[in-house]
Amino acid sequence: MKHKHTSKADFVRKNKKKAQADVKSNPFEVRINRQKHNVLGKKLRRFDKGMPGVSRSKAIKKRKATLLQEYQQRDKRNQFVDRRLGENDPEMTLEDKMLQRFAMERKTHHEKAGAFSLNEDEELTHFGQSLSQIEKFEEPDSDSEDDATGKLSGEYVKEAHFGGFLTKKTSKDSGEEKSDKPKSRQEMIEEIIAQSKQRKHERQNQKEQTDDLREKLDQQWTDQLHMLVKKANKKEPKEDKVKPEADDYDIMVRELGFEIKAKASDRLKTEDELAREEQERLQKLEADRQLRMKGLTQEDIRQQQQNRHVSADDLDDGFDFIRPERLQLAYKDGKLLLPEGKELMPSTSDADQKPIKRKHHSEAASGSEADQSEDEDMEDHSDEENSDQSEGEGSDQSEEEEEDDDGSDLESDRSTDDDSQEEHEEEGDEEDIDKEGSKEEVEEEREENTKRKQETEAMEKISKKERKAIAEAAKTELPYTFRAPESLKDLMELVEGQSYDRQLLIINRIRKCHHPSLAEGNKKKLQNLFSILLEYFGKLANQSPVAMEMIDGLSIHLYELAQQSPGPSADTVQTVLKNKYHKFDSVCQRKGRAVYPAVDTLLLFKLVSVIFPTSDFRHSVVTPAMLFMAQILTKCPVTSGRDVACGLFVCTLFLQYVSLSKRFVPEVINYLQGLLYLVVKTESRKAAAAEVIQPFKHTGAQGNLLVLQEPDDSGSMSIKPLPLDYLSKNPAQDTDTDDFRISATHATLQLTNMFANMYKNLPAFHEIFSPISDLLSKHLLLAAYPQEVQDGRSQFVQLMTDHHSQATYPPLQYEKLKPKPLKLYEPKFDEDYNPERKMKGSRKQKEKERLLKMHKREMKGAVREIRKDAQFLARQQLQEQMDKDAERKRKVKEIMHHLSSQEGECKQIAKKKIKIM
Amino acid sequence: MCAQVRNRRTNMSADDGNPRAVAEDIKRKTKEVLQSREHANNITDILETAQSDEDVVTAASLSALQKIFSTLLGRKEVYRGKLKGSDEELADPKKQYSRWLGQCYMDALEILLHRLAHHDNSDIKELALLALLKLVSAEGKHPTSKSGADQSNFPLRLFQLIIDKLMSSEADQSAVIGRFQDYFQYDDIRLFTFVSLHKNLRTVTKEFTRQPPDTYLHNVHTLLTQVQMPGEGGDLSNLYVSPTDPEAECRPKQLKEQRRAFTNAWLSFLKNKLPSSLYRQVLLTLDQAVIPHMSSPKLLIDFLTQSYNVGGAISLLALNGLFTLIYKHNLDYPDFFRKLYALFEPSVFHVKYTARFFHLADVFLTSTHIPAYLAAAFIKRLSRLSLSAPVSSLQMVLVFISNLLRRHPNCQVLVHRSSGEGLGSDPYDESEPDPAKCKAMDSSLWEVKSLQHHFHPDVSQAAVLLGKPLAPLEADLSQHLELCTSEMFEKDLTTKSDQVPLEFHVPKGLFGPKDQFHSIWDTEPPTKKHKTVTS
Repeated sequence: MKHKHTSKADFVRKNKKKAQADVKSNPFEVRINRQKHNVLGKKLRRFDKGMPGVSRSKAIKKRKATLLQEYQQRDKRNQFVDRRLGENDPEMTLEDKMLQRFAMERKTHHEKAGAFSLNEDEELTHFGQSLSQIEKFEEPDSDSEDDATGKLSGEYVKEAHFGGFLTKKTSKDSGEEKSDKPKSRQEMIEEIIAQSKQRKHERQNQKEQTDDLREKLDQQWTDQLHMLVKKANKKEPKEDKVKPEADDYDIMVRELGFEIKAKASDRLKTEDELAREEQERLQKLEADRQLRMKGLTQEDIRQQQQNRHVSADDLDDGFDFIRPERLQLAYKDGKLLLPEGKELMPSTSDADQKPIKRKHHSEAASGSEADQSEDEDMEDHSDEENSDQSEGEGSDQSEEEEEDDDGSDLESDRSTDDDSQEEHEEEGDEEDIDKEGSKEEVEEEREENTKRKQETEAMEKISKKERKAIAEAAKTELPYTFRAPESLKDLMELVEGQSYDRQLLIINRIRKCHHPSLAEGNKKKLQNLFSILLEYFGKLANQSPVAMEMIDGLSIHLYELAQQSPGPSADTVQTVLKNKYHKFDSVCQRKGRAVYPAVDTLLLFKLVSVIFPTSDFRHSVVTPAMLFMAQILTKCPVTSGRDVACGLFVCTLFLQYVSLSKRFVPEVINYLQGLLYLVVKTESRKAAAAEVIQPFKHTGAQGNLLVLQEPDDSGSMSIKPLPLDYLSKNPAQDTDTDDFRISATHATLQLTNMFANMYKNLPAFHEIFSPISDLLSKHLLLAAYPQEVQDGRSQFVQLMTDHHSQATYPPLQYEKLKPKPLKLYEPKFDEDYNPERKMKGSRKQKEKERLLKMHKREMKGAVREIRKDAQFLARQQLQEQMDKDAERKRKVKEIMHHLSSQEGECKQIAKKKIKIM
Repeated sequence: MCAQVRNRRTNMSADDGNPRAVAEDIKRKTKEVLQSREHANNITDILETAQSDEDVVTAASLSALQKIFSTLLGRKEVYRGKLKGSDEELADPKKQYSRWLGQCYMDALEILLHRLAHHDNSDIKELALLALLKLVSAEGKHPTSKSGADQSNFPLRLFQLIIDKLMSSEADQSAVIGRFQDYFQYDDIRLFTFVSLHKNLRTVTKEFTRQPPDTYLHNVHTLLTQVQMPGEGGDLSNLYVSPTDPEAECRPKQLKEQRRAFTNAWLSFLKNKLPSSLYRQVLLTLDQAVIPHMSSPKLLIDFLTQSYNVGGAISLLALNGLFTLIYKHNLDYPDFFRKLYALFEPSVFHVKYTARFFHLADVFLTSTHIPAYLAAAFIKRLSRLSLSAPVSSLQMVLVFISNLLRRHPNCQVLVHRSSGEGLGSDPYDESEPDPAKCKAMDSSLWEVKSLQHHFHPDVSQAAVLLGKPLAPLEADLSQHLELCTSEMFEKDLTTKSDQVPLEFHVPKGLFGPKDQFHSIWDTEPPTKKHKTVTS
C-alpha cells in the first residue's frame, strides 16, 4: 500500500515542474491510472494520467461557444452578426482591437465634426510663422546621443537632467574656470562631440600599446625557442655518417621478402567434370522448364515444398521444417524408376563419354522413341553410351566426324572457330579476341573505320564494274572488324555479293567486335543487330528457293544473341509478331476470312520455338504466337494446294509447340478433320455427314483439291516428305498433281496419329477424335492409296479401337483440398525476438495497419464526441425546462400571493363593514 | 398581238432547242397561264415538254405543272368528276373549260406518276414526288364533294397511286423513299401510307403468284423501316391535309388506327418469302422497331415460329423476337427449350451473331425453375461443343457453364460425383434431340477436364476453376461475350513478366536434327540434299 503511495507521489513530484510550467493546476485535479505492476523504465502511456476535470470544463466551455449557440439559434431566421472591428479575427490582440476601434471612432467623429466646420484648413500663425512649426523648435534638444553606446553619458545626464541640480556644486566649480553663463546649446553639443572623440582616441592608444607588448613577448619567445631547438638537434648529423651502404645480401633478403609468393589457384577442371557440370546445368534448366509448364512461380514451389506434409499438430502458422526431398526406391523392368527431371549421376566410368549422333540413338532405341519427349531422351543417353562402349572403342572415321556437329555448345563453338581458322589461316590468330587484346582491337577498329570512310568516298566515284572487281578482291580477304550495322540496309551493304558462309562469318565477326564486355553501348548495338538479323531472316525466308543454310546459320546467331539479352529480343520478336498479326487481322476483319501468311511468318513461328521455350504455361512471345497460329487455322479458307501445305505446316508447328506440354489445341483437330473431309470423294461427301467446322465448308471452291484424279495409278506412287517450297506463293513444283495429294494425305494422317498419341491421356480423348474416326472408318477407306497411307489410316483406327476398349470414364470429382487443421492456441514463439525491432511486415502492410488503427481511433473519438454532444444538449434542455418550471412556479406563487393578499384585504374590509354595521 | 408574240416565241424555242432556253420559256408560260385564261393552251405545251428527254426541261415542266394545277385547284377551276354530262353542260363554255382542265389535270398526274416510277435520274423522281405531294395537299385543301373517305379530306385515291408507283418492282427507289421520309412526321400521311401499302401489297402478291421480286420487297422494307411510329400518348394532330372540321375525331388522330394500319402493312409484308439478307435485317430490327408498335404482337407468331424452324443464323435471330413475345406478351411456346437445345451446334461459334445468341441463351436459362435435367443437358451439350470451339469463345463457354452450375446446384454432379464407378463410355447421347432423354445427368464434364490442358493459359485457368468447388457468386458473362482473338492477342503481348525465359537447348539450325518436322517436311537445304544423294 505504502509502496503505491510513494510511486504516485513520486510521479506527481516528477511531473510537478512540468505541470507548473504548463498550467497552474490543482494537484487534486490530476488523475493517475493505477499501475498493476511497476515496471522499471517503462514509460507511461498517454492515457495513464490526465486532468479529467480540466478537460471536461474545457469541453463544456467549447460546447457552450459552438453547440449551444447553434442550439439557441435553431429555429431562428434572423441572425446576430457581430460586426465589431476585429472581433472575428482571432489573431488580433485585445489591444490592437481597441486601437483600431478607437481610430475608427476618431475618424467617424472627425468626419462628422468636420461636416459643419467652415475653416478647417486654416493655419494658425504667429508673426507670419506657422504655430506648429514654432512649437517644434521650442522643444529641448534631447536626441543627441553618445555615439559609442547609444546612451547618454553619465556626466551629461548628471548635468543636463533635472536642470542639473544634482551637480550644481561641480558645475559651479567648472563654471568658475570659464564663465558662470549657462552653456548655449551649440556649445554643449560641441563639448559632447569633443569628449567622445577624446575617449575614442584613448581607447585606440591603449590597444596599440597592448599590441606592442604582445609582439615583444613573441619576439622573446622565438629567441628562446631557437636556443632550445639547437640543443635537441645536435645528435642527428652524427648518425647519418654512421649508416652503411646496402649489402648485396640485404638487398637479396629484401627482395625475397617482397617477392610475390605463388598463390594457390583453382584446379583446372577435367573434361569429365565439365561434362558433369553441363549435365547438371541442363538438369536444372529442365526442372525449371517443367515448373514453368505447370504455370507455377518460384514462390508457389517454395510453398509446395514447405507444405508437403501436414501433421495433425500443424498450427498452420507457416512454421515448418523444410524437409529434404526424399525419393522412394522403386524398380520397374529392372530399371531404377526416377521421377521426371531427376537422373542418376553419371558414373565415373562414363568419363570419356562421347556425344552420340541421333543415328545411333535410333538404332539403339525402339522405333516409337522418335516422338518421345526430350527428357526421356536424355535419360536414355547414359544407357546408350554404355551400350556404345560395350560395342567397343573402335570408332570409325565417320563417327569422329559427326562428333563435330553434335555435342555441347562449347564444342560447337570451338568447331566453328576451327572452321574459320582453317579458312583463313593468317587471320585466325587475330580472330580469337581476348579481353586483353581489346584495346588493340578498338584502335584497329578505329583505323579500319577511317579507312572504310575513305574507301566509301572513293567507292562513290568508282564505276560499277570497278566496284565489282573490288568486291571480288574483298571476297578473298575479309576485314576482321566491322562497324555495327544500324539498319538492314547497312547490313546488306556489308554482306552484298558474299556467299552465305562468308555472310555468316561477317555476322560472327560483327558480334565478336561488339561483344558487350568490350565497350559500353555494345549491348545496345547487339540488340539492334538482333532486330536487323530478324528482318534479314524474314527477307531470306520470302525468297522463292528458301536459302536454308543461311537461315539455319542466322537462327543460331539469333538464338545466341537472344541469350545475351533476353528482354529486348523478346520485345523485338513481339513487335514483329504484332505487325504481322495486325496485317492478318485487318484483312480478316474486312472480309471475314483471311489468306495464309507468307513463308516468313511461318518460319518466324518456327524461329520462336527455337529461341523461346514453347512449353511454358504463359510466355509473352510464345502464347501470342500460338494464338496467331490458331487464328490462321480457323480463319483461312483452303482454296489451293499451297493453302493445304501452309495449314499442314502450321499443324506441324503446333505439334512441336505442344510436344512437351501436351496441351490441347482444338483448332488443329478441326483442321485435320477438314483436310480429311476434303480427301473424301465429292460424291460420297453427303453421306459423310460429319460436321465440318470453319474454315471448311460442305460446299465451295475447295472442291476436289485433295481428291485423287487418277486413282488407278496412284497405288504404286512413292511418298516423299513435303518440301518447304510448297509454302511459297509461287512454288516451283505443281500442287495440282496426285503426287502432292497423296503426300498431303499421308502427312495429314501422320499428324493425326501423332496428335492422337499425344492426347491419349486426355479424359475426352474419344470425343475429340470421334469425328475423324467416323470419317476414317466409314467413308475414307483409302484403298487406292499407297501402302504407307493405308498403314497410317489403319494405325489410327487401331488406336481408336484399342482406346475405346480400355477407356474408363471415372466420374469427376473436385480437387481434394487439404483439410484445414484445427487451431491450437499455443503461443507462437519467435526465435530471435528483439523488442527493439518494430513489428514485422512489409511497409505497405504496416502503413495499412497504421491507417486502420487511426481510423478506428478517430471513429471512436467521433462517437464519443457525438455522445457527449447529446448529453450536453439533454442537460441543456433539462436546465431550460427546470428554469421554465421554476419561473412558472414563481409566477404562480406570486399570483397566489397577490390573490391571497387581496382576499385577505377583502375579508378585512368585509369584517370592518360588519363591524361598522 | 399576244398570240403573235407567243407564236413567235414558241417558234424560237422550238428552233434553238437549247434546254435552258426551253426551261426559261416554260417558266414564262406558267406565269402567263396563271395570269389569265387566255393562255390556257400553254398547258398542252407544257404537258408535251414534260415528256422530253432533257432533264432540265423535264424538271422545269414538272414544277410548272405542279404550280399551275395547285393554283388552279385552289381557284376551283378544275373539274374532277366523271366525264359525262348533258349537252347544256357542254354548251356552257365555263364548264367546258373546267372539264378540259380536268382532263389536262389527269394527263399531268399520269405524267408525274410515270416520271416517279420510271426515270433514270433520281432527282427527277424526287421532283415528281414532291410535285405530287403538293398536289395532294392542294386537293386536300379544296376537296370535291367525294374526294376523302371520311372527314379528313385526304385524297386517298391519288395517294394510293403515288404509293403504287413508289413501290416499283423494277427499280430501287430507296433514294426517293428517303426524300419521302420527311413527310412521315405528318400523322395522316403516315396512316395512309400504311393503308395504301397494305392495299398495294395485297394486289402485288396477287399479281405475282409465286413471289414478288426482291427489288419490290426491298422497296417495301425501306419504306416500312423509314417510318417512325409515335409513342404512347403522343400528340397526333400534325396533319398534312387539314380536315374541314379541325376539332373532329378522324382516323389519323387515333393511335389505335395508326397501329392497326402499321400491323396490317407489316403482316402483309412478312407473308412474302423474303431474300435471306433482307430476312436477317427484318429479324434484327423486329423486336426493337416493330413489336412495340403493333396492335397485337401475337400475330407475328406464325412468322417467328416459321423462321425459328429454318435453322442456322435465321433461327438465332428469330430467337430475339420470340423471346420478346414470350416474355412480354405471354406467349406460350411449347418445345421452346428443345428447339433452343437444337440450336447449340458447332457452327454457332462461327456465325456473326454468336455474342447475341449466347446473351439470349443466358437470359433464357436464367430462371432457376428450369428442371435440372434440362440445365444438365445444356451444360453437357455446351461442353461437348467446347471441344471444337475457337479460343476466343472458350472463355465465354466456360463461364456460361459455371453460371449454369451455380444456378442449378443439382447439376453439380456433372463436375463432382462423390461415388460411382468408372464407366465404359460417356452415357450422354449427343444425337438425341430431346434434352430430357439425352442422359446428361449421368455424365460428367470430361470435356472440361480436357480443356484444363488447353494451350491458352486463360482458357486453361477457367477450366481449372471448374474443377474446384464453385464460388457462390455468378461470374459476369457480358465481358466475355464480345471477346475477340485480337483482344486476347493484345493482352497476351502486354502481360509481361520481368524475365523472359529462353530455350536452353542449343539449336543446330532452324530445323534441328531431332525435329518432328523431318517426318513430314523436307527441310534439308537443296545443296546438302544433293550431297547426301551423291555420297
